[in-house]
Amino acid sequence: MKKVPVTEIEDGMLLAKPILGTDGKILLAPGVELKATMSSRLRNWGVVIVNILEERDDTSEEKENKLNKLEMTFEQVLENPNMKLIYDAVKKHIMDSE
Amino acid sequence: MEDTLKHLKDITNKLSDLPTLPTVVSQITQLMQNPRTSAAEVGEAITTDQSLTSKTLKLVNSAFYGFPGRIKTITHAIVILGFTTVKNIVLTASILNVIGKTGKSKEFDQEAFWLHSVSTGAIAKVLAELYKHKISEEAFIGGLLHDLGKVIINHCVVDLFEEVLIYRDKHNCLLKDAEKGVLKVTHQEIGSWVAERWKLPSNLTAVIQYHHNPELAGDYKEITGLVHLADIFARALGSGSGGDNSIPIVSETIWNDMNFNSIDLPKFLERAEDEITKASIFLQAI
Ligand SMILES: [Fe+2]
Ligand SMILES: [Fe+2]
Repeated sequence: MKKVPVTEIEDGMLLAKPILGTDGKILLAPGVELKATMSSRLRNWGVVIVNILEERDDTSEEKENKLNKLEMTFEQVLENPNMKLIYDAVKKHIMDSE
Repeated sequence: MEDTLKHLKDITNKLSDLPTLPTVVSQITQLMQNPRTSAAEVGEAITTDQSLTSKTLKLVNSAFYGFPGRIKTITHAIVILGFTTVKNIVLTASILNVIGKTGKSKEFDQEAFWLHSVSTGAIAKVLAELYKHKISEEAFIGGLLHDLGKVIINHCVVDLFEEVLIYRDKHNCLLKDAEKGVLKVTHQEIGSWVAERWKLPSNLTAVIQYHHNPELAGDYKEITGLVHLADIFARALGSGSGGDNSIPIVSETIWNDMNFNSIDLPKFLERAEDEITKASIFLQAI
């Protein structure tokens, strides 16, 4: 979950927490898909910041796993300059991959 | 050295259940040595083994060789790809067929092991091409089979192999050092012993024996160096696992001999990944 100012709402963002009116009534329920055009209406309701679900980015998660594994694999050999060179190249390769 | 030989003998005495290669393999090797042998004769020899024939054709028609789906018979394959290539495919297919599923320990991930092996082969092939060595096929098979000894240990003395795995975890060391600790001999020594018994080509035996210290490989230093580097890059890319979580240090002699500093690493890594994808067809031959 991340906090996003209403002025920066983008199409497709999903609401993580409900937006409540002054009377405590739910104006927008969690899970609702937001649109950029909704920001002025939200501002009129007095909302400054909305809680947005972090989209699960599978590729970045996979990259992170690969980088962790790389780190572990090379843990004991990084003082060797040639191994460091290989490590750096593979690290860059993973980060640059789609 | 004396000691190593004695231990090797102790272990190999226990290798009663050693898998054997099909006779067609030695037949073909013999036929190939005669320059007057025709494609039809070799084709006939291979075709006597039905399952080997279909496996060979499947490999021949994969993207790895670049003629997908077009080659219908062994003779046709020999005409298009040449004797040596087809012989290499037959050799590879039959060895994988014999040892691919023989590992017994549940503590050892065989699928990851074969992915490591195929990846090492694919990367060795890319390196051979990069350095314009005309041994890319041999380098591939060398990479594919470099850890043969692990399969043999895992098949023939599985209880000892599991002790090796425990030793590896306890001492947080490489598998080859754990083997030394428990068995007194390593997968390099056991693998090359088996390769000799199977009468595999001597360059393959050298790769199996020296892939962790390629500077000792004598006449076969070139191919052994390629596989040595490929093994390390397969680990670095995390493509499968030969049973280690860590990585051995690259041989400085090989690195300098190959002038490896001058390699365009980003481009090499991309080619390596592409080749691994193509070579994964060999996992189906297991
Ligand atoms: Fe090895
Ligand atoms: Fe290996």
